[in-house]
Amino acid sequence: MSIYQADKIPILEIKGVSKAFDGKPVLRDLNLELFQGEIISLLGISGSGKTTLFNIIAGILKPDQGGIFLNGEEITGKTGHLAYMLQKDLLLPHLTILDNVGLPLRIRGKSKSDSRAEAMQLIPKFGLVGYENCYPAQLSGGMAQRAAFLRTYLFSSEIALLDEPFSALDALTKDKVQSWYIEMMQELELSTILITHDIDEAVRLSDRVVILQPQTQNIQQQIIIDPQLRKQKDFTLRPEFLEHKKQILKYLAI
Amino acid sequence: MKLLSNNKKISEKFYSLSLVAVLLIVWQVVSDVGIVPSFMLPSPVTVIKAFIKDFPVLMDNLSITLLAGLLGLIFGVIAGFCLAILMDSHEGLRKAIYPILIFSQTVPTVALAPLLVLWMGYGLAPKITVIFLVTFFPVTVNLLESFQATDQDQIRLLRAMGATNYQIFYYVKWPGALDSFFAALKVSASYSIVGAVIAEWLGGSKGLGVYMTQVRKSFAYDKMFAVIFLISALSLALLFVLNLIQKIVMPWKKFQSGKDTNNEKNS
Repeated sequence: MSIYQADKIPILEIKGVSKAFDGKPVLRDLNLELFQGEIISLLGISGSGKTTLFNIIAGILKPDQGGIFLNGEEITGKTGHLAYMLQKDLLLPHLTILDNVGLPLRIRGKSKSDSRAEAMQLIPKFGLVGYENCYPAQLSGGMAQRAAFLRTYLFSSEIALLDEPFSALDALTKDKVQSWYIEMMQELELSTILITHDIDEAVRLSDRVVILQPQTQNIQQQIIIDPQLRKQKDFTLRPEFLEHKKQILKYLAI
Repeated sequence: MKLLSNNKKISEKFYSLSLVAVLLIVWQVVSDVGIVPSFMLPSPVTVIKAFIKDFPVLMDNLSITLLAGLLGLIFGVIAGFCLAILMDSHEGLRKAIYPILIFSQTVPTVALAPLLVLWMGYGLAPKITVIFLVTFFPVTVNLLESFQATDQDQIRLLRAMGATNYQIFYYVKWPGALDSFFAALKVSASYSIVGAVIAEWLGGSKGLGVYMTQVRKSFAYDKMFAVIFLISALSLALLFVLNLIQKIVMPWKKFQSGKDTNNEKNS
């Protein structure tokens, strides 16, 4: 996918966002655009402002300057447009999986039966058949993340904001869930911004890896990953993969 | 797995019941042999006989104590619930009310009860007030601590979804506090019966506390023991009912405690 075609209109724009806490700048004049069907990985060391940026995109925090635009419409400081998913599945323990995934619909004012019916239609697609009436405590980590992903999708079917969603999973489950996520994303035509500490994960999953520099508090570098190359099964073993990793490590100054 | 856990429960019950049986036998022997004079320590059989003989009177008094206990508990729980919500929603209120709340628990109930009788008379009102004072505190503190300990990520996620404060309370804070609420309710339920009996000691015409004072004055210790066991049985019955309600209200809890064993499904 060619990202920077002039005729392409971004679905999400982060324009000149700055944010400081107690006078200490965390983000400074940050600009980023997300295009339809794209996965962007946001890499940065701890404290580089990644989660602050997510909170600003989701409308929980207001930036000191700049704005967030969804399909051209300003949504700065407004909640109810974009939801995110964390490494913790954050499923409510007292609700069944069906009610958990339908929660965004209930919050929007839909009736319980309508929310359940709508969620039920997507249960098979997300591999949750047979788990509808289970409680989260009955699910494995991987299944719980699938349910959390469906809840995010039912909230916002265009964009997913993922904050280290795979980091709590064991290596084998992580690999399975990541592959499943890429397939689902393409099928659902979902655009994604993924926060991660894992350079391998960023290169493997993304169309673009952007790096939040702690010195400048904004994005100075980005690496575009060839989607054709990424589709290759042995991509993680190829020299290009290692080259990207080296480049990222250099930018992160590790 | 379930069979094993059931067997474990049965064997645990067997051990505790056996110990109770042994204690009762020792007590009977101590009393029969005369190690302790029987008027000071009546034997279990004498206590049972007194219980059967006075059963209608005990039940009559029980209904009064139970009514006062339940009314006080209901008022205490409602007040505790409202106070916890109020204190959770406003930090200034929490800081202002919390010290008063702690102070209220340092006042001894036994010292306060005669004053309440003086102000409110010998009716239900002073009893309910005493019970209210001892039951609202555990509910307020447990609920407030649970509300304050709610996972902030969970709240942020619901906020991002556009949830109102009421929706956050309804979906996250209240269900998350249910466990603590029931724990507090069990403590308060026991307090409510004891509180009612204490209030009745200090005045009133009927109730288990009044009955207790009467039998103590007439040195009828067999009846005294009978009423003590009745009060204990009443508290245990309340705990049993609350446990049952908790199981019905929180069906997900049984899976949470066995999460490790239930986590066997593959992703």
